[in-house]
Amino acid sequence: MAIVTSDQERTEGESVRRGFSLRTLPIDPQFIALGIAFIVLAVLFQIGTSGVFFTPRNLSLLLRQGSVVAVLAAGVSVLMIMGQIDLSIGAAVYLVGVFVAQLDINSDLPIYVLVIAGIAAGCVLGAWQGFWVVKLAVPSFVVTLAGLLMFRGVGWLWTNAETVAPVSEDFIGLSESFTPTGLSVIALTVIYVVSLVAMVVSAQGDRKYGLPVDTVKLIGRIAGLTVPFVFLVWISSGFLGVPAAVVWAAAIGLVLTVVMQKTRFGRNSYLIGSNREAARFSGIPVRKLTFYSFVLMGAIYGVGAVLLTARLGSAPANMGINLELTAIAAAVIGGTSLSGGKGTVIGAIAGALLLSTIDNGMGLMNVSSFAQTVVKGAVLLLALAVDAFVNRRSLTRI
Amino acid sequence: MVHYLTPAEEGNRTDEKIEQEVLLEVSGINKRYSGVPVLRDVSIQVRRGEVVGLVGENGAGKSTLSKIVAGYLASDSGTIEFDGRRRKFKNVREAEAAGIVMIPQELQTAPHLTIAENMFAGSLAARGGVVNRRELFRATIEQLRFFNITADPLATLSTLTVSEQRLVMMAARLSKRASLVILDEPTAALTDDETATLFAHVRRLREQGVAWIHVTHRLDELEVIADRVVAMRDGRVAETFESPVGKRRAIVRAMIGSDVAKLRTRHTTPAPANEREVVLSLSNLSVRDPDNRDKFRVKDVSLQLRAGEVLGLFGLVGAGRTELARAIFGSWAGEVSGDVRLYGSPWRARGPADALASGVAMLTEDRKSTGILQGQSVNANISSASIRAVSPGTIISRAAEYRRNQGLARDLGVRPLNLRAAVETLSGGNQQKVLLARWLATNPRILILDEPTIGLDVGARLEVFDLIRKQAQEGRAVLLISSDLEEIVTQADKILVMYKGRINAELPPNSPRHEVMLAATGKDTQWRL
Repeated sequence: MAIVTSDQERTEGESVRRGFSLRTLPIDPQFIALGIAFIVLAVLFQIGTSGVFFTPRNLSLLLRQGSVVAVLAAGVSVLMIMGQIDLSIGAAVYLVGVFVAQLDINSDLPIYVLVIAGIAAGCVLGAWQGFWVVKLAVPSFVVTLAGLLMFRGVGWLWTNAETVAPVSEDFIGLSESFTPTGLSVIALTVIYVVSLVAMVVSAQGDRKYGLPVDTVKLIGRIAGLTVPFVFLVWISSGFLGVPAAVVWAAAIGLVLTVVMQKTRFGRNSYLIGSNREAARFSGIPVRKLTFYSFVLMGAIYGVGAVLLTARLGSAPANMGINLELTAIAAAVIGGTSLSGGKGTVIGAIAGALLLSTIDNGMGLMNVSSFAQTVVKGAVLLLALAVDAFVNRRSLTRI
Repeated sequence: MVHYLTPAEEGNRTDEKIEQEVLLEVSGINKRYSGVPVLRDVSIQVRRGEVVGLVGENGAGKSTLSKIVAGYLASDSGTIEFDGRRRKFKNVREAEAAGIVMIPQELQTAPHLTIAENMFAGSLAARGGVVNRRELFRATIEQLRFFNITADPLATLSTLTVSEQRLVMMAARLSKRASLVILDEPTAALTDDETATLFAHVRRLREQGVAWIHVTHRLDELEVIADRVVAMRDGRVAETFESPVGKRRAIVRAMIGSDVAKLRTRHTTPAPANEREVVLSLSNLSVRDPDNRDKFRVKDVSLQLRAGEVLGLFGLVGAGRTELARAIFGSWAGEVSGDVRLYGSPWRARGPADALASGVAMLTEDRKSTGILQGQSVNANISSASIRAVSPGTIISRAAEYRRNQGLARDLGVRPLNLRAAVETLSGGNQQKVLLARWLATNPRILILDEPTIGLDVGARLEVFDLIRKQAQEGRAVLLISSDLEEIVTQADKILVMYKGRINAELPPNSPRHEVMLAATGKDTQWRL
């Protein structure tokens, strides 16, 4: 028997060597595929809309449209990295949206209190689901499927399925206002320079401590920082400034990226997602961290609900329907694995922007929304096919 | 209490003719796994109505041989004659159609389907694609009656106890009109009473002319059930024993061959025991099966683990060694009773995190499912159990982490020395070193190593041995658990041998291997009911 095992090890080693070239690229091939998809779509839409697509005005709209999905995709990618899933996103966003809209309409509370109340309410929903998943070991698929039904049901009972409207102008401003153009450009430039310096300094620090620095990766990161910066400056100086929704999405993206890449919680999340049993044997508090991640997702419901309610100016009964599927699709397109252990917050946000680009461009081209759905499905399929192709080895392992 | 006659007592049974007729004739079988020979020119004979015990060390080729006979594997060369005809089975179905049925160690079940459906999965009585429930019901009742099991065929399988489930599944396999049954370690998961039930069935079918190949480590059980024992060693048939009663020593010798060590022996002098501090002591530790409370996986084990020593715990399949380790580490699902003391004070790990906090680390037996974190870097794999040690705050200090891990990886000789590589791209030996690094990073006082060299090639094995020795020299207490005779004899400072959940012998280092094997196959224990 021992001989058989060593034999398996050997053949496995060989197959690893065969798949070497793609797997050891310094940049994730899926990111490259995503970049190509963006460029191809942009060119197609630019031609198809005779130049309307690629204007600051339209791109500003595109970003505002994509922000809610980006925030939720970033949140669900954290859960997915841990090997969990959340199907209740759309319903939870609706219920919290109803809550904050009611608060806004029926009270004189300042806006920031409303935001905090929304996030707190979201956390309660997240903790509720986390409780069932962690304490009672019900699979998150089932728990959040129940949440999908229950949260929306509660919202409908509460409002009698009537639209909660209208929310105040101040509230709408949470998503739809703009930072002034001049200030935007200055702020963006400051943020850009600070991030750039931080990146280089951190790389230098690594080198000093004997950490190997991957130059290609560093250049890739700098490019990844520069391209969005250039676009944002162009968009915000060309049309009113930076949309508030984008500020929210960027802030959430930044916070979650730091959490996932730099903290112990983030590291352990990846480990739990890649092998739950081995993580448990390593003494990682798997259940506690899983619960935290659901509460974190709850906070994201709150942010998403505030943004969407502000954007719609109300909380209608069909608010957020299918939002969970769009968010999960965005995370998957951005490289998050459904089986856990793999993915990034930035990738999920990029996936959300790609879906938003498709919506926006096809909308401009007057393609029916039915056809848009087909195209988005195809993109999702393609993204997974690219992933499967790159990681061919894992196919044979199943 | 039933008393079964041993074959010797039974003596001249009737039907000499049936006894003599050869049912299975395997000749000159060779089998290689990518170049490595696992069976060399193996020939065995099984007569009708005969129970043949097949014994051998891990890797001797018992399982491979069984699988070839049962159609799971094809041989490279050699012939199989069954029931008077030359056969070459392409798959399990062909072998089963001919009357050869193998009952593997782990039976695949669908616990939520009915007993009947489980028993006849794959061969459901059907008419035009629709399952004929009446016929299914009838056939199930018939089989269950034969095995004296009273159960409703339409109840779900999970309503039975684990051993009942096993018997039911065996009954199902036997319903395939078998004339040769291969049992692979059938009793490892059974209590003594359940084993007796099983043996009663074996005897009953033997009377009807069914032949059995019984693959096991348990020589005391073979004494009561087997007519003949075939001992395998290094892919060959070492010796055949007609009637095994009273021949245990000879059988063990045949299994392990001469006492010449194949590996270099331990180069250090044995640690001066008894003066060293006792780090961990167990008294009367018992571990129950999580699914079958009546089954003790470990029974009344007492041992003392001292600082700076490598305590070897040898045991074969079903001996309870992994269960014992898991009970200490706090990761056993079933009930654990008894007294555990860590540095003299009562202690019980509530879980792996608790054990690690107390300085107890465990390298698990199954590298894939409980060891490596697939898809993650070598760096993250090394830090998984000790990230707090290098990053007390919320934010991970990458530099401190990297320096610590790089040092460990270099000391242990991880190749390639690239902490960014995904761990699964490393060879098995290097994965094992990464896991060793993970546990050493927690700076444990007690290191439990469960089968540390399983699946490793010879070079990697020797490297791991050196690393183990080094840990002991640095003052750690090492509990080395193994089913590898070579490993235990050459690496342990003291050898404890487990058999059926108990410690059956305590032996000095470099003990003769047959002494160790004898204890692990039930030395002096009599199969009694």
